[in-house]
Amino acid sequence: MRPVETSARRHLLDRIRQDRLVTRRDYLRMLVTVSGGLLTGTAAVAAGVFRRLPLGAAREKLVASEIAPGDAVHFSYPGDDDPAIAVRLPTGRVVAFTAVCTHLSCAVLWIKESGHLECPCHDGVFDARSGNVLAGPPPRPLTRISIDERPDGIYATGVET
Amino acid sequence: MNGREHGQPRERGVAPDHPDLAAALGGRIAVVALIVVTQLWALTTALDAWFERDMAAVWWLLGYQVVAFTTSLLIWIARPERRRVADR
Repeated sequence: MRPVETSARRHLLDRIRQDRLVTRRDYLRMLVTVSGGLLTGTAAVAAGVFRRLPLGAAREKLVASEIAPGDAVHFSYPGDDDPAIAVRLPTGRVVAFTAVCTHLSCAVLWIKESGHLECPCHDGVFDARSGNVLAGPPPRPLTRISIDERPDGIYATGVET
Repeated sequence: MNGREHGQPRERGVAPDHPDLAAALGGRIAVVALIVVTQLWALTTALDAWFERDMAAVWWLLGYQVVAFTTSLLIWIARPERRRVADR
């Protein structure tokens, strides 16, 4: 049985019909707003909002007095808030990289068993010799840090590409 | 806001009630949506280029974003349905 259409009910239904929350024109306006936001975001990228390590020589820093073959040492370089990792490879060579995954900036860890640098967040795997991506979602290699082995210890001396 | 008091009905005089006008609005939405998708790609590519220190690519992509946003803005401002309704 059809309900009786009172004036108040008709008015309410009319309001509901006409007062649609989002129209197609609203969609268009929202899309244009998003378009402007993406332009702003790209301008922010070009302006250097995202920090990246400066290339070239930096202040020297003692990483460790010694690292045993197959072991790794975490340190900060070039700034105090820039995590880095130095690894003495089984071949005896010492390599160092920024310990920040290029995917979503999680910490990169040295996994002795696999001989790789790995990001546990999304299973990114980096080559411990070069920092190149071996597997997972990271889009770029790890930034390499120059290392100088001296009689009194292992020093970080700069940031490479 | 929509330029109207809360609870008041929308203006109905410019509604794309004609099938051609409704299709035109749908087409504009589709074109701007496509532009936005390409802008998303451009932003992620620009971010990657920034971290790879490829500033030439970053500037090119910023230029593309300017063109894309201007195009979507013009498509939004054009409002052919209002013009056609006024012509009636």
